[in-house]
Amino acid sequence: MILIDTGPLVALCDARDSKHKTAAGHLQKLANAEFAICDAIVGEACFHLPRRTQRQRLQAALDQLDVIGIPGATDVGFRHDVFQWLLKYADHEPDWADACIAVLCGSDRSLSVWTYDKEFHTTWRRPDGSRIPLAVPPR
Amino acid sequence: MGSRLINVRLDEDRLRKARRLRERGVAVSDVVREAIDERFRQLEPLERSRDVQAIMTGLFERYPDPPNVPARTYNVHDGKQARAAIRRRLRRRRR
Repeated sequence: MILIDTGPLVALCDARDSKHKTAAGHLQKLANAEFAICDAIVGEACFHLPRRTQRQRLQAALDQLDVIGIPGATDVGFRHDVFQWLLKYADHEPDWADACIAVLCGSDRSLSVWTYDKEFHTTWRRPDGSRIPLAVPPR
Repeated sequence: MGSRLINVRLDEDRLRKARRLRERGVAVSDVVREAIDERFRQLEPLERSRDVQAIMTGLFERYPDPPNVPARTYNVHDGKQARAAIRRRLRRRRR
């Protein structure tokens, strides 16, 4: 299962985004994949897609790509793990969504991440220190 | 997480089974949710194959941007720029 990060999601829904064509190409390659998302990502995406039609496209994209919400991403244990991860990487000023992705990848080893954030390749790790699997190669 | 109510028709035999499950403390709604998740997992990749080109085209045909919409002034894919944009927006809201 592939966890979609904010970057690809925004790029897919905004034709003028600098990575729109890249994201559409990646989506083509991942056409058969099962996609997932967490609330933090949707929240970030809405910040970057403030217009009505952008958000309509976002909702439709999530629906039509059968993107499922990750269950358990709101419980207390998860929240504690996310804060702990944020403290560990505090020097790099990660976002809440970055931490959610890293922690989710730690608790579900089948998850990989579709992201354009190079820190998932260079810096961020799962809570146990292992690499976060990426669904598309870093550039 | 939001949820919607769906109705499922059951024949007599399944109704009997559902009642027995309920008597044993099993929530039938949980059974339905688990069954849906399991069947979804079992879908062959080929069955899940999507026409992503059609999906993408459809998104922009159905929800086109109105004319003269200004382009974003920052790069979403640059973490610093994206964070700064979010902070600016939050500041505007507080005023």
